[in-house]
Amino acid sequence: MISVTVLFLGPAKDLAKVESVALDLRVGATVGDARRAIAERFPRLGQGLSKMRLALNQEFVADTQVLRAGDELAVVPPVSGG
Amino acid sequence: MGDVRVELVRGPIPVAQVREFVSGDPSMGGTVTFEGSTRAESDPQHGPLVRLDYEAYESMARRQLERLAHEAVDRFSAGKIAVVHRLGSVPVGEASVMIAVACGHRAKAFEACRWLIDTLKKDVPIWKKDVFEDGFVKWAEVRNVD
Repeated sequence: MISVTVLFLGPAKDLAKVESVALDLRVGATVGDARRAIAERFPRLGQGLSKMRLALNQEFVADTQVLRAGDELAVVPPVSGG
Repeated sequence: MGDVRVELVRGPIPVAQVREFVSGDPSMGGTVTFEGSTRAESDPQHGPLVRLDYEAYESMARRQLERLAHEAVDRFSAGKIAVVHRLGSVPVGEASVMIAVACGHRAKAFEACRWLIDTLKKDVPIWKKDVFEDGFVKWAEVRNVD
């Protein structure tokens, strides 16, 4: 197993009711696998999660990207800066 | 060629300093600056909007802004670019974001400035809450208004 840190940002933080959690995944798990695991563990994020981008170590990545132990995975809801 | 300054600030944007940063090169014939401010609005139920509260995924926001500024330097042959975003509370009438671009000619400077604010609004992890006079607070809806 590997452990990654998941950060919930902006509106996602209010839905998840937590700022960050450690998420355990199998070796070789992808960002998409993490997305599914997050959806299961935080049902309040609901369908909104499909519209949220995931940033791996502060870069937007595709769901096919493979995760490594210690990665920082951020749940980034639609942004509203400016 | 090309020099960028990117900053996340708490408190008023140092407008004169930002403009100063992009000035001074006589080969740059066109400078465009954009300031986006908290617009006065009113909600039928909650009354006037008093401020916006901004927060960011700061490390990533800074990185994204730097990347965008450098990309704009390349795409629009800009000499200097400054992008400053304010975080925390921004009262009605005050600026939350400022972009300054100096280019050889005006057309590219306008284009670069427009591209930067549009891309910032899509890709930089910053969020805001609307705060109304009666104390009601909600996350700003994501709208695509020019």
